[in-house]
Amino acid sequence: MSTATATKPVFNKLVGLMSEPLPHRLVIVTGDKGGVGKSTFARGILHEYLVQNEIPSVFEADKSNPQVKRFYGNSGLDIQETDVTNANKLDEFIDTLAEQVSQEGEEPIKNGEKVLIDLPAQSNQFFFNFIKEMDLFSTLEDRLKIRTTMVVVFSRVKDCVTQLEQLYAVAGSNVDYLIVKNAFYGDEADFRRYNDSGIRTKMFEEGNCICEIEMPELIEHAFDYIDEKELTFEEAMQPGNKISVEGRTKGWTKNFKKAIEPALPLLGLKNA
Amino acid sequence: MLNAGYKRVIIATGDARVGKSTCLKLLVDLLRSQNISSVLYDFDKRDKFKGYHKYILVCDNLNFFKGNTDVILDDIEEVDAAVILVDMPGQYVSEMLEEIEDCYFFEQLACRGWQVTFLQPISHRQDCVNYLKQIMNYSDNLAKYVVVKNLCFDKYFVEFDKEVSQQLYQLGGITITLDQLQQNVYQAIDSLGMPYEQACNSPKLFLLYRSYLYRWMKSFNQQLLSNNLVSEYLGIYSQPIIEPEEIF
Repeated sequence: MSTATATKPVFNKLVGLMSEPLPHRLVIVTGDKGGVGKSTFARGILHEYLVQNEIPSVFEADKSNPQVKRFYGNSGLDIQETDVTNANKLDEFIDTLAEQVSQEGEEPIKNGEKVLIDLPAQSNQFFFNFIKEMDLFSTLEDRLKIRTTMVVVFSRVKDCVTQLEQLYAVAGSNVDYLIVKNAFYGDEADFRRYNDSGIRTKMFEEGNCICEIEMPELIEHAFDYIDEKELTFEEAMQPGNKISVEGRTKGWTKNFKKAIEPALPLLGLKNA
Repeated sequence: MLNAGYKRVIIATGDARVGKSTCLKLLVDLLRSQNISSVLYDFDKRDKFKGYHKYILVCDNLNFFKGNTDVILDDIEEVDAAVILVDMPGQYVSEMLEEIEDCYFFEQLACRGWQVTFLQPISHRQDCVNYLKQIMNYSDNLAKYVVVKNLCFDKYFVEFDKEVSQQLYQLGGITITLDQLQQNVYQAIDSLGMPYEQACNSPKLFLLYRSYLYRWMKSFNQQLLSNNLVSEYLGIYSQPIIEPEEIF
Protein backbone atom coordinates (compact mmCIF):
# COMPACT_ATOMS: atom_id res chain seq x y z
CA MET A 1 0.00 0.00 0.00
CA SER A 2 2.79 2.38 0.80
CA THR A 3 5.95 3.24 -0.98
CA ALA A 4 7.67 3.08 2.34
CA THR A 5 7.21 -0.61 2.94
CA ALA A 6 7.46 -1.77 -0.62
CA THR A 7 11.21 -1.42 -0.75
CA LYS A 8 12.28 -4.71 0.82
CA PRO A 9 12.67 -7.70 -1.45
CA VAL A 10 10.59 -10.56 -0.15
CA PHE A 11 9.79 -13.70 -2.00
CA ASN A 12 6.97 -14.88 0.14
CA LYS A 13 4.97 -17.21 -1.94
CA LEU A 14 3.22 -20.35 -0.91
CA VAL A 15 4.05 -23.30 -3.09
CA GLY A 16 2.75 -26.81 -3.21
CA LEU A 17 -0.25 -26.61 -0.89
CA MET A 18 -2.47 -29.61 -1.36
CA SER A 19 -5.77 -28.89 -2.95
CA GLU A 20 -7.93 -30.31 -0.19
CA PRO A 21 -6.45 -29.37 3.14
CA LEU A 22 -7.28 -31.34 6.23
CA PRO A 23 -9.70 -29.80 8.68
CA HIS A 24 -7.27 -29.29 11.56
CA ARG A 25 -3.91 -27.63 11.89
CA LEU A 26 -1.08 -28.22 14.30
CA VAL A 27 1.44 -25.41 14.22
CA ILE A 28 4.79 -26.24 15.77
CA VAL A 29 7.11 -23.30 16.22
CA THR A 30 10.75 -24.30 16.29
CA GLY A 31 14.14 -22.71 15.96
CA ASP A 32 16.91 -24.61 17.58
CA LYS A 33 18.82 -21.62 18.81
CA GLY A 34 17.51 -19.57 21.69
CA GLY A 35 16.81 -15.95 20.83
CA VAL A 36 16.03 -16.33 17.14
CA GLY A 37 12.55 -14.91 17.58
CA LYS A 38 10.63 -18.11 18.11
CA SER A 39 8.58 -16.79 20.95
CA THR A 40 8.01 -13.47 19.18
CA PHE A 41 6.63 -15.29 16.19
CA ALA A 42 4.47 -17.56 18.36
CA ARG A 43 3.10 -14.51 20.16
CA GLY A 44 2.51 -12.73 16.87
CA ILE A 45 0.53 -15.67 15.58
CA LEU A 46 -1.42 -15.89 18.82
CA HIS A 47 -2.26 -12.24 18.53
CA GLU A 48 -3.53 -12.77 15.01
CA TYR A 49 -5.60 -15.78 16.05
CA LEU A 50 -7.20 -13.77 18.83
CA VAL A 51 -7.85 -10.79 16.57
CA GLN A 52 -9.64 -13.09 14.15
CA ASN A 53 -11.45 -14.74 17.01
CA GLU A 54 -9.99 -18.11 16.10
CA ILE A 55 -9.15 -19.41 19.53
CA PRO A 56 -6.37 -21.97 19.32
CA SER A 57 -5.32 -24.61 21.81
CA VAL A 58 -1.93 -23.63 23.06
CA PHE A 59 0.73 -25.91 24.42
CA GLU A 60 3.76 -24.58 26.19
CA ALA A 61 6.63 -27.01 25.81
CA ASP A 62 9.32 -24.73 27.08
CA LYS A 63 9.61 -25.35 30.80
CA SER A 64 12.79 -23.43 31.42
CA ASN A 65 11.73 -20.40 29.45
CA PRO A 66 7.95 -20.49 29.08
CA GLN A 67 7.62 -17.41 26.92
CA VAL A 68 4.16 -17.94 25.55
CA LYS A 69 2.79 -18.65 28.98
CA ARG A 70 4.60 -15.67 30.43
CA PHE A 71 2.97 -13.27 27.98
CA TYR A 72 -0.36 -14.92 27.32
CA GLY A 73 -0.90 -16.65 30.67
CA ASN A 74 -3.42 -14.04 31.77
CA SER A 75 -5.06 -13.42 28.44
CA GLY A 76 -7.88 -15.88 29.03
CA LEU A 77 -6.31 -18.49 26.79
CA ASP A 78 -6.03 -21.97 28.16
CA ILE A 79 -2.35 -22.78 27.94
CA GLN A 80 -1.49 -26.38 28.65
CA GLU A 81 1.94 -27.60 29.47
CA THR A 82 3.75 -30.43 27.85
CA ASP A 83 7.29 -31.66 27.67
CA VAL A 84 8.81 -32.69 24.39
CA THR A 85 11.79 -34.28 26.07
CA ASN A 86 9.62 -36.76 27.91
CA ALA A 87 8.06 -39.57 25.91
CA ASN A 88 5.20 -40.05 28.35
CA LYS A 89 4.29 -36.38 28.25
CA LEU A 90 4.42 -36.42 24.50
CA ASP A 91 2.05 -39.36 24.37
CA GLU A 92 -0.26 -37.42 26.66
CA PHE A 93 -0.03 -34.49 24.32
CA ILE A 94 -1.11 -36.66 21.39
CA ASP A 95 -4.00 -38.03 23.41
CA THR A 96 -5.10 -34.53 24.30
CA LEU A 97 -4.97 -33.62 20.64
CA ALA A 98 -7.12 -36.64 19.85
CA GLU A 99 -9.71 -35.54 22.37
CA GLN A 100 -9.67 -32.06 21.02
CA VAL A 101 -10.51 -32.97 17.46
CA SER A 102 -12.50 -36.16 17.86
CA GLN A 103 -16.20 -36.66 17.66
CA GLU A 104 -17.86 -36.79 21.03
CA GLY A 105 -21.26 -38.42 21.28
CA GLU A 106 -23.80 -36.81 19.02
CA GLU A 107 -21.84 -33.63 18.50
CA PRO A 108 -20.73 -32.93 14.98
CA ILE A 109 -17.07 -33.26 14.20
CA LYS A 110 -15.27 -30.14 15.15
CA ASN A 111 -13.84 -28.26 12.28
CA GLY A 112 -10.85 -26.04 11.94
CA GLU A 113 -9.24 -26.83 15.27
CA LYS A 114 -5.96 -25.03 15.65
CA VAL A 115 -3.19 -26.10 17.95
CA LEU A 116 -0.09 -24.06 18.60
CA ILE A 117 2.97 -25.44 20.29
CA ASP A 118 6.11 -23.53 21.09
CA LEU A 119 9.14 -25.82 21.30
CA PRO A 120 12.02 -24.99 23.58
CA ALA A 121 15.43 -24.30 22.14
CA GLN A 122 17.75 -27.27 21.93
CA SER A 123 14.95 -29.80 22.19
CA ASN A 124 15.00 -30.89 18.60
CA GLN A 125 17.04 -34.03 18.89
CA PHE A 126 14.61 -35.67 21.23
CA PHE A 127 11.59 -34.43 19.39
CA PHE A 128 12.94 -35.58 16.05
CA ASN A 129 13.47 -39.08 17.42
CA PHE A 130 9.95 -39.09 18.70
CA ILE A 131 8.65 -38.10 15.29
CA LYS A 132 10.56 -40.95 13.72
CA GLU A 133 9.55 -43.56 16.26
CA MET A 134 5.89 -42.72 16.17
CA ASP A 135 5.72 -41.72 12.57
CA LEU A 136 4.01 -38.83 14.27
CA PHE A 137 2.81 -36.75 11.36
CA SER A 138 1.27 -39.58 9.37
CA THR A 139 -0.49 -40.72 12.50
CA LEU A 140 -1.86 -37.28 13.14
CA GLU A 141 -2.95 -36.98 9.56
CA ASP A 142 -4.54 -40.39 9.09
CA ARG A 143 -6.15 -40.76 12.47
CA LEU A 144 -6.92 -37.25 13.57
CA LYS A 145 -7.09 -35.34 10.30
CA ILE A 146 -4.54 -32.90 11.58
CA ARG A 147 -2.05 -31.45 9.13
CA THR A 148 1.10 -30.09 10.69
CA THR A 149 2.98 -26.92 9.88
CA MET A 150 6.56 -26.74 11.05
CA VAL A 151 7.49 -23.13 11.57
CA VAL A 152 11.23 -22.65 11.46
CA VAL A 153 12.39 -19.28 12.69
CA PHE A 154 15.76 -18.28 11.32
CA SER A 155 18.53 -16.04 12.33
CA ARG A 156 21.51 -15.86 10.06
CA VAL A 157 23.70 -18.50 11.63
CA LYS A 158 24.62 -21.72 9.91
CA ASP A 159 23.01 -23.86 12.62
CA CYS A 160 19.63 -22.85 11.36
CA VAL A 161 20.29 -24.47 8.02
CA THR A 162 21.66 -27.59 9.70
CA GLN A 163 18.57 -27.77 11.81
CA LEU A 164 16.34 -27.55 8.78
CA GLU A 165 18.24 -30.39 7.17
CA GLN A 166 17.64 -32.56 10.23
CA LEU A 167 14.00 -31.63 10.39
CA TYR A 168 13.46 -32.36 6.74
CA ALA A 169 15.17 -35.72 7.13
CA VAL A 170 12.56 -36.84 9.67
CA ALA A 171 9.47 -34.94 8.60
CA GLY A 172 9.89 -34.90 4.83
CA SER A 173 6.73 -34.23 2.94
CA ASN A 174 4.53 -35.17 5.90
CA VAL A 175 4.41 -31.58 7.05
CA ASP A 176 4.15 -28.13 5.55
CA TYR A 177 7.01 -25.73 6.10
CA LEU A 178 6.90 -22.13 7.07
CA ILE A 179 10.32 -20.52 6.98
CA VAL A 180 10.46 -17.29 8.93
CA LYS A 181 13.38 -14.97 8.41
CA ASN A 182 13.63 -12.64 11.32
CA ALA A 183 14.28 -9.15 9.94
CA PHE A 184 15.85 -8.22 13.25
CA TYR A 185 18.88 -10.16 12.03
CA GLY A 186 19.05 -8.37 8.73
CA ASP A 187 17.47 -7.91 5.37
CA GLU A 188 16.37 -10.64 3.06
CA ALA A 189 19.77 -10.64 1.34
CA ASP A 190 21.49 -11.32 4.64
CA PHE A 191 19.99 -14.77 4.83
CA ARG A 192 22.44 -15.88 2.19
CA ARG A 193 23.35 -19.09 3.99
CA TYR A 194 19.81 -20.31 3.80
CA ASN A 195 18.96 -18.77 0.45
CA ASP A 196 21.90 -20.50 -1.20
CA SER A 197 21.59 -23.73 0.73
CA GLY A 198 21.20 -27.13 -0.86
CA ILE A 199 18.39 -28.03 1.52
CA ARG A 200 16.30 -25.12 0.30
CA THR A 201 16.73 -26.15 -3.32
CA LYS A 202 15.96 -29.73 -2.42
CA MET A 203 12.80 -28.90 -0.50
CA PHE A 204 11.52 -26.85 -3.39
CA GLU A 205 12.48 -29.41 -6.01
CA GLU A 206 10.82 -32.24 -4.17
CA GLY A 207 7.53 -30.41 -4.35
CA ASN A 208 6.88 -29.76 -0.69
CA CYS A 209 4.46 -27.26 0.62
CA ILE A 210 6.72 -24.44 1.66
CA CYS A 211 6.33 -20.78 2.40
CA GLU A 212 9.00 -18.26 3.19
CA ILE A 213 8.20 -15.03 4.92
CA GLU A 214 10.04 -12.24 6.63
CA MET A 215 9.06 -11.38 10.15
CA PRO A 216 9.11 -7.60 10.60
CA GLU A 217 11.44 -6.04 13.07
CA LEU A 218 10.14 -4.56 16.27
CA ILE A 219 12.32 -1.73 17.47
CA GLU A 220 14.46 -2.80 20.40
CA HIS A 221 13.22 -0.42 23.06
CA ALA A 222 9.62 -1.36 22.40
CA PHE A 223 10.50 -5.04 22.44
CA ASP A 224 12.25 -4.62 25.79
CA TYR A 225 9.35 -2.64 27.24
CA ILE A 226 6.85 -5.31 26.28
CA ASP A 227 9.16 -7.99 27.54
CA GLU A 228 9.71 -6.34 30.88
CA LYS A 229 6.02 -5.79 31.50
CA GLU A 230 5.07 -9.16 30.01
CA LEU A 231 2.37 -7.65 27.85
CA THR A 232 0.42 -9.28 25.10
CA PHE A 233 0.61 -7.28 21.90
CA GLU A 234 -3.01 -6.31 22.41
CA GLU A 235 -2.17 -4.90 25.82
CA ALA A 236 0.85 -3.06 24.46
CA MET A 237 -1.40 -1.25 22.00
CA GLN A 238 -3.61 0.18 24.70
CA PRO A 239 -3.26 3.72 26.03
CA GLY A 240 -1.36 3.91 29.27
CA ASN A 241 1.84 2.49 27.86
CA LYS A 242 4.61 4.58 26.40
CA ILE A 243 3.11 6.28 23.39
CA SER A 244 5.95 5.19 21.16
CA VAL A 245 5.53 1.57 22.28
CA GLU A 246 1.82 1.79 21.60
CA GLY A 247 2.54 3.11 18.11
CA ARG A 248 5.38 0.72 17.37
CA THR A 249 3.26 -2.25 18.40
CA LYS A 250 0.41 -1.10 16.19
CA GLY A 251 2.86 -0.71 13.35
CA TRP A 252 4.49 -4.07 14.02
CA THR A 253 1.29 -6.09 14.26
CA LYS A 254 0.09 -4.50 11.05
CA ASN A 255 3.33 -5.44 9.31
CA PHE A 256 3.21 -8.88 10.86
CA LYS A 257 -0.30 -9.46 9.59
CA LYS A 258 0.85 -8.49 6.13
CA ALA A 259 3.92 -10.69 6.37
CA ILE A 260 1.98 -13.84 7.24
CA GLU A 261 -0.64 -13.28 4.56
CA PRO A 262 0.77 -15.82 2.10
CA ALA A 263 1.10 -18.34 4.93
CA LEU A 264 -2.47 -18.15 6.21
CA PRO A 265 -3.49 -21.60 4.94
CA LEU A 266 -0.53 -23.05 6.80
CA LEU A 267 -1.76 -21.45 10.00
CA GLY A 268 -5.32 -22.64 9.61
CA LEU A 269 -6.53 -19.16 8.81
CA LYS A 270 -8.46 -17.95 5.86
CA ASN A 271 -7.76 -14.97 3.70
CA ALA A 272 -9.86 -12.04 4.77
CA MET B 1 -12.28 15.15 12.33
CA LEU B 2 -11.90 18.74 13.23
CA ASN B 3 -8.78 19.68 11.34
CA ALA B 4 -8.95 23.19 12.60
CA GLY B 5 -8.37 22.11 16.16
CA TYR B 6 -5.09 20.34 15.61
CA LYS B 7 -1.85 21.42 17.09
CA ARG B 8 0.99 21.23 14.62
CA VAL B 9 4.02 19.04 14.20
CA ILE B 10 5.87 20.74 11.38
CA ILE B 11 8.35 18.49 9.65
CA ALA B 12 10.83 20.14 7.32
CA THR B 13 11.68 17.65 4.61
CA GLY B 14 13.20 17.47 1.19
CA ASP B 15 16.46 17.41 -0.63
CA ALA B 16 19.68 18.38 1.08
CA ARG B 17 20.55 22.08 1.03
CA VAL B 18 17.29 23.44 -0.29
CA GLY B 19 16.54 25.60 2.72
CA LYS B 20 14.87 23.38 5.31
CA SER B 21 16.69 24.88 8.26
CA THR B 22 16.37 28.37 6.84
CA CYS B 23 12.59 28.06 6.62
CA LEU B 24 12.42 26.64 10.11
CA LYS B 25 14.52 29.49 11.49
CA LEU B 26 12.26 32.03 9.84
CA LEU B 27 9.30 30.25 11.30
CA VAL B 28 10.81 30.18 14.78
CA ASP B 29 11.29 33.93 14.63
CA LEU B 30 7.77 34.48 13.45
CA LEU B 31 6.20 32.17 16.03
CA ARG B 32 8.20 33.91 18.71
CA SER B 33 6.98 37.30 17.55
CA GLN B 34 3.44 36.00 17.90
CA ASN B 35 4.10 34.64 21.38
CA ILE B 36 3.59 31.08 20.28
CA SER B 37 5.73 28.56 22.09
CA SER B 38 7.55 25.95 20.07
CA VAL B 39 10.13 23.22 20.49
CA LEU B 40 12.54 21.92 17.90
CA TYR B 41 13.72 18.38 17.29
CA ASP B 42 16.85 18.49 15.23
CA PHE B 43 17.71 15.29 13.38
CA ASP B 44 20.08 17.06 11.07
CA LYS B 45 23.49 16.92 12.57
CA ARG B 46 24.93 20.17 11.34
CA ASP B 47 24.06 22.35 14.29
CA LYS B 48 22.25 24.85 12.12
CA PHE B 49 20.27 26.25 15.00
CA LYS B 50 23.19 27.44 17.04
CA GLY B 51 21.87 30.92 17.59
CA TYR B 52 18.38 29.75 18.38
CA HIS B 53 19.05 27.82 21.54
CA LYS B 54 18.16 30.81 23.67
CA TYR B 55 14.88 31.29 21.80
CA ILE B 56 13.57 27.82 21.68
CA LEU B 57 14.03 24.47 23.35
CA VAL B 58 16.15 22.47 20.94
CA CYS B 59 16.32 18.75 21.27
CA ASP B 60 19.32 17.61 19.30
CA ASN B 61 21.76 14.73 19.47
CA LEU B 62 19.00 12.68 18.00
CA ASN B 63 19.75 9.89 15.64
CA PHE B 64 17.07 9.47 13.08
CA PHE B 65 18.20 5.96 12.23
CA LYS B 66 17.97 4.67 15.75
CA GLY B 67 14.29 5.10 16.24
CA ASN B 68 14.74 8.40 18.05
CA THR B 69 11.60 9.69 16.40
CA ASP B 70 9.93 7.88 19.27
CA VAL B 71 11.14 10.70 21.50
CA ILE B 72 8.64 13.02 19.85
CA LEU B 73 5.77 10.65 20.58
CA ASP B 74 6.82 9.97 24.12
CA ASP B 75 7.16 13.67 24.85
CA ILE B 76 3.91 14.66 23.26
CA GLU B 77 1.70 14.57 26.31
CA GLU B 78 4.11 16.58 28.40
CA VAL B 79 5.36 18.99 25.80
CA ASP B 80 4.65 22.55 26.77
CA ALA B 81 4.39 24.06 23.32
CA ALA B 82 1.79 24.77 20.71
CA VAL B 83 4.05 23.89 17.83
CA ILE B 84 6.63 21.16 17.38
CA LEU B 85 9.25 21.72 14.70
CA VAL B 86 11.24 18.86 13.25
CA ASP B 87 14.28 19.24 11.06
CA MET B 88 14.84 16.06 9.10
CA PRO B 89 18.10 15.07 7.49
CA GLY B 90 17.93 15.71 3.75
CA GLN B 91 17.14 13.03 1.24
CA TYR B 92 16.12 10.16 3.47
CA VAL B 93 12.50 10.37 2.47
CA SER B 94 11.80 6.65 2.15
CA GLU B 95 13.38 6.01 5.50
CA MET B 96 11.37 8.78 7.10
CA LEU B 97 8.12 7.42 5.72
CA GLU B 98 9.05 3.97 6.92
CA GLU B 99 9.57 5.36 10.41
CA ILE B 100 6.25 7.15 10.23
CA GLU B 101 4.58 3.92 9.23
CA ASP B 102 6.36 1.80 11.82
CA CYS B 103 5.46 3.95 14.78
CA TYR B 104 1.93 4.77 13.62
CA PHE B 105 2.97 8.38 13.82
CA PHE B 106 -0.07 10.07 12.25
CA GLU B 107 -2.60 8.04 14.19
CA GLN B 108 -0.79 8.33 17.49
CA LEU B 109 -0.60 12.09 17.03
CA ALA B 110 -4.15 12.49 15.80
CA CYS B 111 -5.74 10.87 18.83
CA ARG B 112 -3.85 13.37 20.97
CA GLY B 113 -4.87 16.38 18.96
CA TRP B 114 -1.81 16.85 16.78
CA GLN B 115 -1.36 16.76 13.04
CA VAL B 116 1.68 16.83 10.80
CA THR B 117 2.44 19.58 8.31
CA PHE B 118 5.21 18.87 5.86
CA LEU B 119 7.14 22.01 5.17
CA GLN B 120 9.09 21.36 2.02
CA PRO B 121 11.35 23.86 0.34
CA ILE B 122 12.10 22.95 -3.26
CA SER B 123 14.74 23.85 -5.78
CA HIS B 124 14.41 23.40 -9.53
CA ARG B 125 15.75 19.85 -9.24
CA GLN B 126 13.71 16.83 -10.18
CA ASP B 127 14.61 15.13 -6.90
CA CYS B 128 12.54 17.68 -5.02
CA VAL B 129 9.50 16.82 -7.06
CA ASN B 130 10.06 13.11 -6.54
CA TYR B 131 10.38 13.50 -2.79
CA LEU B 132 7.24 15.52 -2.59
CA LYS B 133 5.36 12.98 -4.66
CA GLN B 134 6.53 10.19 -2.43
CA ILE B 135 5.46 12.01 0.70
CA MET B 136 2.05 12.94 -0.67
CA ASN B 137 1.40 9.46 -2.03
CA TYR B 138 2.04 8.01 1.37
CA SER B 139 0.56 10.62 3.67
CA ASP B 140 -2.34 11.66 1.48
CA ASN B 141 -4.86 13.62 3.52
CA LEU B 142 -3.42 12.57 6.87
CA ALA B 143 -1.07 15.53 6.74
CA LYS B 144 -0.94 19.09 5.45
CA TYR B 145 1.59 20.44 2.99
CA VAL B 146 3.33 23.74 2.56
CA VAL B 147 5.75 23.86 -0.36
CA VAL B 148 8.27 26.67 -0.41
CA LYS B 149 9.58 27.59 -3.81
CA ASN B 150 13.08 28.71 -3.01
CA LEU B 151 13.73 31.52 -5.46
CA CYS B 152 17.41 31.42 -4.73
CA PHE B 153 17.57 28.47 -7.14
CA ASP B 154 15.28 29.55 -9.91
CA LYS B 155 12.27 31.65 -10.76
CA TYR B 156 10.47 28.86 -12.53
CA PHE B 157 9.59 25.48 -11.17
CA VAL B 158 8.40 23.79 -14.31
CA GLU B 159 8.66 20.19 -13.15
CA PHE B 160 6.83 20.99 -9.95
CA ASP B 161 4.04 22.82 -11.73
CA LYS B 162 3.66 20.07 -14.26
CA GLU B 163 3.96 17.00 -12.12
CA VAL B 164 2.78 17.59 -8.58
CA SER B 165 1.07 20.92 -8.17
CA GLN B 166 -2.33 19.48 -8.98
CA GLN B 167 -2.05 16.69 -6.45
CA LEU B 168 -0.78 19.19 -3.91
CA TYR B 169 -3.76 21.49 -4.35
CA GLN B 170 -6.18 18.59 -4.26
CA LEU B 171 -4.82 17.72 -0.84
CA GLY B 172 -5.32 21.27 0.31
CA GLY B 173 -1.61 22.01 0.08
CA ILE B 174 -0.22 25.45 -0.48
CA THR B 175 2.81 26.97 -2.17
CA ILE B 176 4.66 30.00 -0.91
CA THR B 177 7.95 31.49 -1.98
CA LEU B 178 11.21 32.26 -0.29
CA ASP B 179 12.90 35.25 -1.86
CA GLN B 180 16.44 35.19 -2.97
CA LEU B 181 18.88 36.70 -0.56
CA GLN B 182 22.24 37.51 -2.07
CA GLN B 183 24.74 34.80 -1.33
CA ASN B 184 27.23 37.08 0.41
CA VAL B 185 24.51 38.59 2.57
CA TYR B 186 23.23 35.17 3.53
CA GLN B 187 26.75 34.07 4.46
CA ALA B 188 27.39 37.18 6.50
CA ILE B 189 24.21 36.61 8.48
CA ASP B 190 24.91 32.92 8.87
CA SER B 191 28.39 33.53 10.19
CA LEU B 192 26.99 35.68 13.00
CA GLY B 193 25.34 32.57 14.40
CA MET B 194 22.42 34.55 15.73
CA PRO B 195 18.69 34.41 15.06
CA TYR B 196 17.56 36.34 11.99
CA GLU B 197 15.38 38.59 14.07
CA GLN B 198 18.34 39.54 16.19
CA ALA B 199 20.70 39.90 13.22
CA CYS B 200 18.21 42.31 11.76
CA ASN B 201 18.92 44.70 14.60
CA SER B 202 22.54 43.90 15.18
CA PRO B 203 25.20 46.52 14.56
CA LYS B 204 27.52 43.64 13.68
CA LEU B 205 25.79 43.48 10.32
CA PHE B 206 26.12 46.17 7.64
CA LEU B 207 23.13 48.43 7.60
CA LEU B 208 22.50 47.62 3.97
CA TYR B 209 22.60 43.91 4.69
CA ARG B 210 20.22 44.43 7.55
CA SER B 211 17.75 46.08 5.27
CA TYR B 212 18.03 43.20 2.77
CA LEU B 213 17.47 40.76 5.61
CA TYR B 214 14.52 42.73 6.90
CA ARG B 215 12.80 42.76 3.53
CA TRP B 216 13.56 39.11 2.95
CA MET B 217 11.98 38.14 6.26
CA LYS B 218 9.06 40.44 5.79
CA SER B 219 8.20 38.98 2.42
CA PHE B 220 8.21 35.47 3.89
CA ASN B 221 6.29 36.40 7.01
CA GLN B 222 3.62 38.28 5.14
CA GLN B 223 2.74 35.23 3.11
CA LEU B 224 2.35 33.26 6.30
CA LEU B 225 0.32 35.86 8.13
CA SER B 226 -1.93 36.92 5.31
CA ASN B 227 -3.23 33.49 4.40
CA ASN B 228 -5.38 31.77 7.01
CA LEU B 229 -4.70 28.33 5.67
CA VAL B 230 -0.92 28.73 5.68
CA SER B 231 -0.97 30.18 9.12
CA GLU B 232 -3.13 27.32 10.32
CA TYR B 233 -0.83 24.73 8.73
CA LEU B 234 2.20 26.34 10.30
CA GLY B 235 0.74 26.72 13.74
CA ILE B 236 0.63 30.50 13.68
CA TYR B 237 -3.06 30.70 13.93
CA SER B 238 -5.19 27.94 15.25
CA GLN B 239 -8.83 27.84 15.96
CA PRO B 240 -9.62 27.05 19.55
CA ILE B 241 -9.44 23.36 20.23
CA ILE B 242 -12.85 21.92 20.79
CA GLU B 243 -12.72 19.48 23.64
CA PRO B 244 -14.43 16.15 22.91
CA GLU B 245 -17.02 16.75 25.65
CA GLU B 246 -18.24 19.82 23.88
CA ILE B 247 -18.89 17.99 20.67
CA PHE B 248 -21.28 15.47 22.09
